[in-house]
Amino acid sequence: MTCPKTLRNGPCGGVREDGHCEVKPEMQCIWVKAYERKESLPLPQSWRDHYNDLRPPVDTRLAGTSSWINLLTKRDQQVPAGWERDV
Amino acid sequence: MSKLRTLLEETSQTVFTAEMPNVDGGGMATLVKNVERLAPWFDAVNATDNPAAHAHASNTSIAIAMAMHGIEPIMQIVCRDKNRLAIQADMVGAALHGIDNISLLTGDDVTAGDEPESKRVFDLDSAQAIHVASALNHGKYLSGRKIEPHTNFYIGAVENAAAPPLDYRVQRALKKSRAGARYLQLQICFHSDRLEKFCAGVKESVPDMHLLPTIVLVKGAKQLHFMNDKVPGIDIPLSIIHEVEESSDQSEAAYQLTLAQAQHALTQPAVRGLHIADFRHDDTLARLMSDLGRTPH
Repeated sequence: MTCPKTLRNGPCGGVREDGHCEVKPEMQCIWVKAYERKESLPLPQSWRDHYNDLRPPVDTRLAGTSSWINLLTKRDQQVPAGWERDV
Repeated sequence: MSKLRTLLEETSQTVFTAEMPNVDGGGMATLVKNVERLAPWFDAVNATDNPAAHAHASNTSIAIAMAMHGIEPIMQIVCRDKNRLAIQADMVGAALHGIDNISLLTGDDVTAGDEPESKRVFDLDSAQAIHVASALNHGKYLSGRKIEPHTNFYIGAVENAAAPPLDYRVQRALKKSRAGARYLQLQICFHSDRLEKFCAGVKESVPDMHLLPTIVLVKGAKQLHFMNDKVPGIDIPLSIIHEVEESSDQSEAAYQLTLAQAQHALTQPAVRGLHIADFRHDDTLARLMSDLGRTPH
């Protein structure tokens, strides 16, 4: 995750006119890059739509653990009880 | 009870909001002076949360003081300085004091401020913070622990219609709406075409979202240059700055620019009013409001 603000839900309002990061002007905003890729690559629409998913807060206990194992065990899908509801 | 909610949800009146100037000493007398200046013109005023990554009197304390002195606060909470525990504490603390309007922002990075060596937090981002405020409105902390009675927040957020990726910004407004935001105060936008496109997109794709574009009162080209160079996410076409710079009366030219922007913004779809950022601190605030047909109350 290269966003200096560790944002999980898209680009912040500080993106520069050239699409670069507010914090690191030499770096393209990772969310701009992801947006451009999901638009330009031949992806199914359902994959593209994932860009707009509301992603939950990060579980900091998982820092340093294997994301592959967490994916397979679905540990990375656990969210706090107050997060889940019909909006 | 939020007057802002009533105005936006139950009337078609034009709504005006503003920004409470930062409090850095001067005591309550300074705040009261600002309240007296703003109260006649505005329906609600933002109690900011360390704006531009500079420390000031806290968001909650300012919001409480504003409510005490008779002006309705919109309490901002930014994600830069507080983790999820502290953000929820801010929210519930505000509710304890009867503050219902809250606005959730990502926040400028610490590098935009005067203490760039600070640790940045961003434990939640703005969309997540909005969702958490909605959870409190449903009677639950993020953990799932109950809170009774539930909070009654009228939740707002901020969006920048002029920052890349431009085609995405309406989707971001939709995401914030789905998380629970009902109104968006828009970042200052000097690209009228981008504002038009964003507002039209929101009208089409984000049902019932109320937009309050920000209009800024500046003294002249110097402040425009400063914003263009220093404020994250703001781009001002040089042609606009030069127009003010080359005028024989910069102060008047800057005012006319502001007035034209305000009138243009008010005609856009989904726009319900304006958010006024006053960097002039002179009598042009009253002039602008009068020129926009507002009478003091």
